[in-house]
Amino acid sequence: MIKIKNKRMRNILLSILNAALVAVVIIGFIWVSLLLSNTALNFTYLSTAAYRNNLWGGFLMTVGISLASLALSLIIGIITALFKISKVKFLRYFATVYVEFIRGTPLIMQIFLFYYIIGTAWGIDQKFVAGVLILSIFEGAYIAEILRGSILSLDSTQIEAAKAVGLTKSQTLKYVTLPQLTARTLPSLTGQFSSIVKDSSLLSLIALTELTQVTREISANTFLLFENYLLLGVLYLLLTLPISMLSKYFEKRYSYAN
Amino acid sequence: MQINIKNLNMTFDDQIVLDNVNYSQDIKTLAIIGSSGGGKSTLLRIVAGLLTPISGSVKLDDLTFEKNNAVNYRRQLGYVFQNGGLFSHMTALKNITMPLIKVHDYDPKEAEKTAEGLLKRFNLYEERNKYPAELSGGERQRIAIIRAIASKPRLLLLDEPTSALDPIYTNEVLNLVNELREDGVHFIIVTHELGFAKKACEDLIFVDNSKIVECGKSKDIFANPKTPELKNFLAHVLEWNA
Amino acid sequence: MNTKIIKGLVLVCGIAGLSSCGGETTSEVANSLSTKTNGVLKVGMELAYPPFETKDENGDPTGVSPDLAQAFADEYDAELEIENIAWDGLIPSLQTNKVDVVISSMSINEERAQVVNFSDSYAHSTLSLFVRTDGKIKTEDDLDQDGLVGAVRLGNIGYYYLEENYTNIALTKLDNVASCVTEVMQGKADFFIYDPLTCFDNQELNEGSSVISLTKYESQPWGAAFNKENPDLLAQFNTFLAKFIAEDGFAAITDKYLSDEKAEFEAAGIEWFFDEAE
Repeated sequence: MIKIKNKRMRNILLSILNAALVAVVIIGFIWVSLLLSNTALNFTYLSTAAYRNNLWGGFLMTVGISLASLALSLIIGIITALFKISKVKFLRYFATVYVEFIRGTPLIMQIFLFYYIIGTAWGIDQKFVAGVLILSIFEGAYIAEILRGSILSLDSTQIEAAKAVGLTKSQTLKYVTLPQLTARTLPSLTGQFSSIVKDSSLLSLIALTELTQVTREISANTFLLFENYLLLGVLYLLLTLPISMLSKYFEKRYSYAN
Repeated sequence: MQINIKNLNMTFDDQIVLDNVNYSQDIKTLAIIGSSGGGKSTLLRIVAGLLTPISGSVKLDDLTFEKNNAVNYRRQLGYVFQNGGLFSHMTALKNITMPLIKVHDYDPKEAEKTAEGLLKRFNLYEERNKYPAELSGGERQRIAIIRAIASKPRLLLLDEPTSALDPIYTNEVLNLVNELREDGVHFIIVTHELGFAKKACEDLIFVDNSKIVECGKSKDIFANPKTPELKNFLAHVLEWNA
Repeated sequence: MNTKIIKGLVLVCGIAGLSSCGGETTSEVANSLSTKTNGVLKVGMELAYPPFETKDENGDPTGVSPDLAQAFADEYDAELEIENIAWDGLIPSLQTNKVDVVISSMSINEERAQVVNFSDSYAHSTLSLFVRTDGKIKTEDDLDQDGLVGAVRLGNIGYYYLEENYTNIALTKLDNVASCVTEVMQGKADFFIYDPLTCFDNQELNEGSSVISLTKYESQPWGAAFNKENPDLLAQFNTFLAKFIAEDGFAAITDKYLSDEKAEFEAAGIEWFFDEAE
């Protein structure tokens, strides 16, 4: 018993040691870079309540935009995937053009195009609404492809087995197809949510006061580039790291499917 | 069970797979043998109601296959695939209970009791919470069979259940089917295991080149194959067998 | 053993690099510029403000500020290197000595003066409003209305003016001029506050727009910005500037780049950039 305990303790200690070493190397590199570029970090601007409040507001806005876009882009992605496997030619073509265009052009272009031209034409002025729409249309195309890949990877024998067992078409969908699709898609879908959070930063281009825009404003006012953007990185990590852990959890949980 | 297959025709992409197949017999245990691509699996799937023939009819006792009544037809039968038949996202236990609950309206507790009973009987109780990916080939097929018979179907259909298994697992599975036979379960099995066909199955059909070339009592057929095709087939199969 | 020696050397070089980052002159030749790299003057500007700072067809810097920078470099026989930097990156670039000086039509104000040192002023700029002719703002006094939305550029002097004097205005802060102009033309903002030249240029491009000058705004001086730890280079620039002005350097620049604009300003009664200098 003692032998086993020692081995486990040893492994845990080794892991901690290695993690600490990595942290030291990375932080050390950043610190030396700061020194060599004659940059002294000064975070006293954070003592100004207005800046802290704005940052908090921006953080909440980013969370809000991301959640809303996640929901909407999922819907768009599902509809597009269904269009792509539909028997109706027009729907298939429409979905293909949408996906190719969106995935083939940068988000920055789509933001300007949709907000200033299409948004104005159809009266979508409110920045939050416009931002969520633009981001959802963008991410929806990627989600559609993830879904399409999952649908194609479904084993046809499973569907036949459902038939053989006596399930109706809707029962097959509910008890076999959808659960298997979910298992296959959830890990990459979670990863896509992480992309949504990071891509939302580009909405600062239309002055939507999410986290990045607030950071730009504070940076312009305080003339501090590095402190602001380092903090920005940390704040985004606060969002993306948990998502990443969730994604790994899903990957593990649904690994039986393989 | 009285099987009546009349004038059955089937094509895939303009290829004739079954050519005017007729068979009428009161069977308990039927084996279908023949070389690959001859049409045996297609025949089985049509009998199971998984495929609709181009023309012809299938009748099992009083149950006739009709396209608009397909689900009801299938519910009264049990089917075992060569592989991949178990639902990969459900445990062994759930694979068995889900159809009982959703298709045969069992009470969930009833279903679990039935399933566990069967698993215990065939020494698979310890595996009940495992996913198919975690089971051996033999265990998967045996659980697939259990799933198929749990609702006490009129007829059990097995499509080459051991072709993807090694000799030890093959034996496991065939032993189980034999046990079921002793219980009085009626089945049709498509197989390459000629020994099993001979010893455990009363009736035999030999399918070759999309036709039923020879049929009858299996003991008789193996002792005295009549047609040259069957003689040829048996000679090839027995070439490397003891 | 070898890796230890290499590590030691890197550390020594690092420390040596640190000490030479202070901006002290490494050469004692009296006539050379106190720049980070001996004989090279690195100037930061945002090449997005024609005709003051822009690019020619070949993509090379051209305009008032490049000419001024070249004159400064020539005076001390230094080589000129111009770095194109986005507006809100200019001061940080100075702070980290990525450039020796920023000459980019930058206004001298209190906030900026806290982090950088400015040379003597060489120009003045007022502010104007770019508006839709049929919009809410017809005169400067209309800025007192409730519920106004103003477009400003991040880090621009107009922002400070509005923040101090017009708390009733909601500000949309964007990072480039085109977006600000678009927001006004599409009615998403009631005005765009910027320098008169840019406002006039955009008025020509957009039918249905007008320019309103802000007389209440005291024109702000422009200066070249220097790292606070490099007073020597600043002194050298001031010396050069006095000479440049005395030799009518700015009159020549106006003739070269801004003759039309000068006429336009005179007609609209707006103070010319280089009036004081001429």
